[in-house]
Amino acid sequence: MESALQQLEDIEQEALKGIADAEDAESLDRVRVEFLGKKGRLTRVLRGLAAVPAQDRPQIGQRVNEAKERLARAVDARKSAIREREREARLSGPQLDISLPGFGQPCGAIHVLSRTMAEICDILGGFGFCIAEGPDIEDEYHNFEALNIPEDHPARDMQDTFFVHGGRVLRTHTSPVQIRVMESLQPPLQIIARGSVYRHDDDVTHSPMFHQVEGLMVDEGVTFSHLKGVLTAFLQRIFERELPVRFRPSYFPFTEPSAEVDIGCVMCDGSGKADGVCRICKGSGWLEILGCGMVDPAVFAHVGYDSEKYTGFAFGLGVERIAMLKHRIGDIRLFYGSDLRFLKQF
Amino acid sequence: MLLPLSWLSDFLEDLPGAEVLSERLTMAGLEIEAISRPSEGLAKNLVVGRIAGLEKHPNADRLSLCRVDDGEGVRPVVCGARNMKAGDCVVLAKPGAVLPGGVKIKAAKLRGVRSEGMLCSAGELGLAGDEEGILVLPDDLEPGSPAFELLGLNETVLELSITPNRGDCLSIRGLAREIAAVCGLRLKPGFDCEPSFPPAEASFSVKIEDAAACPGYRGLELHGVEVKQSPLWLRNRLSAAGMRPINNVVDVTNYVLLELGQPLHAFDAGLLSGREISVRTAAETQAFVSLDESEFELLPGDIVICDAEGVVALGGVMGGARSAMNADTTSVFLEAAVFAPRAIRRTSRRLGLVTESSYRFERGVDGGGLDRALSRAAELICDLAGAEVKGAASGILPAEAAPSIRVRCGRVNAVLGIDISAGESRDILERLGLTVGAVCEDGNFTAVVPPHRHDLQREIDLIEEIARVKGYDRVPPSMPAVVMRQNSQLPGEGLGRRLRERLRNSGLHESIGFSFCSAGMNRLFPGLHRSDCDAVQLENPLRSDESYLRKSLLSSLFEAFRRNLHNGATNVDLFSLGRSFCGGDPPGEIDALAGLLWGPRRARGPGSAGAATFWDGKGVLERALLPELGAAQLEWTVCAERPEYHPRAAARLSVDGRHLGFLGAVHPLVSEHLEIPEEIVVFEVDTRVLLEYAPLERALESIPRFPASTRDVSLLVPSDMLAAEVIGQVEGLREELLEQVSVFDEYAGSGIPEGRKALAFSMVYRSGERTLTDDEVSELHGRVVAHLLSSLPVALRD
Repeated sequence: MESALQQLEDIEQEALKGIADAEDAESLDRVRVEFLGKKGRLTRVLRGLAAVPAQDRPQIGQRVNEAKERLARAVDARKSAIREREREARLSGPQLDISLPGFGQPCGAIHVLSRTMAEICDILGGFGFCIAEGPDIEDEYHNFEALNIPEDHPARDMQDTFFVHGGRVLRTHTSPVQIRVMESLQPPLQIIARGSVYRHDDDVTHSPMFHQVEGLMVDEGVTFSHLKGVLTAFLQRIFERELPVRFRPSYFPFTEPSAEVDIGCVMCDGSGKADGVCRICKGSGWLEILGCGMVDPAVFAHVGYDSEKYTGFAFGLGVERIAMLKHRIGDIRLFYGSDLRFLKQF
Repeated sequence: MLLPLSWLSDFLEDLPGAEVLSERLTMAGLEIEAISRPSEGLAKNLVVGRIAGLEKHPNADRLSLCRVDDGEGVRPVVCGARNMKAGDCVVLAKPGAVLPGGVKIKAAKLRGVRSEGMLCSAGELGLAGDEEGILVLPDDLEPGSPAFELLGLNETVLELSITPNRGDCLSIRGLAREIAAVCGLRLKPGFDCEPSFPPAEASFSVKIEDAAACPGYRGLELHGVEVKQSPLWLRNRLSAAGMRPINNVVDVTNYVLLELGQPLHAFDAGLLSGREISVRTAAETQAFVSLDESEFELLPGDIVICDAEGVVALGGVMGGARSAMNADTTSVFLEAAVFAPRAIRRTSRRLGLVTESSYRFERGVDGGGLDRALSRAAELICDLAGAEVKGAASGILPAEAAPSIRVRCGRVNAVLGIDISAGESRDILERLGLTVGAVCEDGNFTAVVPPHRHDLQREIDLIEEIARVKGYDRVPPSMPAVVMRQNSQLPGEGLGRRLRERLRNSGLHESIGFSFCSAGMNRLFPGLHRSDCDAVQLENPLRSDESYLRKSLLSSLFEAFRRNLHNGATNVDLFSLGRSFCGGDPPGEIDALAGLLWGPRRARGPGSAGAATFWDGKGVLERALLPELGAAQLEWTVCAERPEYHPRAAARLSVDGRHLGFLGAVHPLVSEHLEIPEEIVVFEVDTRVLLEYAPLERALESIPRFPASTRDVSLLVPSDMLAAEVIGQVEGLREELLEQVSVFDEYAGSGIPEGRKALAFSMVYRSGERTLTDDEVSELHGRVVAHLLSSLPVALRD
């Protein structure tokens, strides 16, 4: 029995040395298997108990198990130590260059006019307006006559027109959509018509094609005061500030009373001064932003609405104008140049 | 319309300053576009000079050296003009003067000769006039006297934008009347006095053949006219109002036009044939030579003024050459008439001839002002040209009764949303010159419109006037009550937004191009559907290469591509959502999506890194479109017949057998034609088809509980075989345990026999009930491969 115990002692000492000498997880595991594995040397000692006198077996068995526990603890401790050392080594590696650019395909861009159009439609949608559309190539009736712009009337000068072979026109405004909607629906209605419109005009501030959003609300009891309320709220939302809004009398054949709406200049905050005279508002402190008015009874007559019973307001605004002011874009032609150096900015 | 304030104050008392006036008029609907103020830089250093001597510049052929008497002495001035002579009075800008353009005058040596000032032209002083050379003044002026006020340069001028309904505001007098009403100013005494028409026997008879075309015609014959330059005060006023002085008679007609809004025409009475003027519309096509010697073709319907020989003037638009005023004219026939606005507009538009006269007639001239205008003109011509009235002519038709309009106080408030009393409404209309009746018990009253306000015909017109004069700022803003209904948005709205998002996430940039294009681009890109349809052509394009509407969005994208190429872009990935057009009655409009990919990119699938490939485009389209199609799948078939696509690298897309669009590499001929690189991938899709599908509402598929086994197979197949054929065969087996088959490599080249290519497939096997054993999977995979080898002309690649 003594010799068995001595042998046990020797094995344990040898194992402890092996554990202490293990430099990495792999060699530690080899030591563990050699001594503690199913066929390991300590296990073999247990198996060799058959040769030990029966009265000694419990004691030796107990000693073997104690040694096993001690060695297992030693392996765990060594394992932790090795892991810690390796972790330390990993953590003390070179500094990553966090300034190198990120990977992955760069994003494209949605055109600033589409984004502005969506913003406008979202705000007005929140006010209860639904979107409507109509054709770009219109007949003269819907583009002019039904909107109270008779042939040979000077009001046609306000909208230089592209004519299409076969007697149609490119719509000069989105107002014909109003007519088309009113021809098919009865009040109350609240719509916005949006899309491309065309004018025979081309310079720094005029583009032969541009985009409009037109609003129309018809019901009993709709007033000019409502028009002011809706447009003031809209303009303050789209420009995201409490800017001053003024309505001044103007003339459109399809509305009466008609108004042009100015907002306090977004560049100089209405002071008219920014580095001398403000370039944007030319010193007036005001910027013309849209046209509007109460739907003219003559328009209602064309679509068969009773203008004694119903009143309505309409407004039309240029999407480019709003995008130019919001994003400080000075030349309307940039929108249509498709220059990636422009497109990528939005 | 230019409004010189000194002229306005002939009619108005106590005119406020330009700023105040401008603000108040703008808020009353008379928009002030600009205020032009006196140029202070000229106030001190601008004097009358007399040319004491004149010689050629010693060192320059085109320059003269003038000795100019400035009242204090004689100074040398070098001048480039040639229209002056010794003894002329001219305008001298002395050193220190600043011209309206910002140029500061300094004493300097010009080609070696000292010059102490500058002789000015009308244009350099900011005056109207396009005569060559410097301004020569009347020669009775005193050298050294200040020229600033003498030339009317101390004038402040408002530039108004008059809306087309306000023809009555196209004159100084009309504006004075309007300004008095909206600003509460007092008109000067005599504003409304009827002038005394010069007594004269009728020397011409007037025959109006078309009363609708010309409701009124008056004339005066003046003899003893001496045609010469107008005096400075008249020239100054015309200049300030933007008109070029010509001679005393023409200047007077223009002066009266500006002041009273009534166009006048002066004929040389000696050149008129016979003693009858007839006004009619042209009966047939005929030629007409205008007083500026331009030739026009008249059509039936044009209003003409005729003498015994024929047409002498295009009524309301322009006089003719045959009877035009000239330097030898001694007798004048002065015409004041009213013409039908629409006829004038038609003629003026058609001939491209917009004159001060036609502009006013189009917008409506008050027929009641003929005598006032004629007598004012006669008075001035007699005064300035030494003439006297010899005869008259008259063809006045009875005026239409002015409309009487009922104004309901309740209606006024219902439209405006304010509370304005009937009394206040009535007062406002009275201020505007309407004749108003007493307010009845129900709050209503009647108003009779004065002849100059032909734009007021209905109650709503008067409601606008009430709001305008009261001030729009007096209407409080309020929100309408709206029905909070389900916001039924246009289906295309959401689709467009989703497509934009996904294409943006795929790295494409949205481009918005004009709908116009050239005939050539329409031939290259014939569009999605009926490639044989006619293009929509514009009658009046701005440019010849923009004379059609695009049949395909690709036209716009290729223009955008070329511009970016020109700007040095190395990668161009663009898309556009918009309309394309094709002819017909009515013309067709297609909502479409198109895209263009060009330039190097990383490999993301079959094919090597480098140029954009068909598969780059396919990936973009699948990511964009598949989420829109619900359970439906995109179908791809080889497309070899479209002229704009490469016949070996293009596909037709469809869904449920319906044509959706095309994707492919561009045909080399397109690149050659447009002089652009090859290896461009484009696509075009009819987005209307997508609207018929609802984006899939996804229900959760259960997550597999057992592991899958994957086996690969690499096959040698004929080069033109599509991977889809192999996949189709595999799927045709309907092996329950075969979960998925996909292609992961395509290769041709070294090691692969001619006419063949290698395709590698990956098969995923899985059971929903247990873990498959290795042997089971191998046996199954063997069966699948054996099927392929037996049913297709393919071989295993070793």
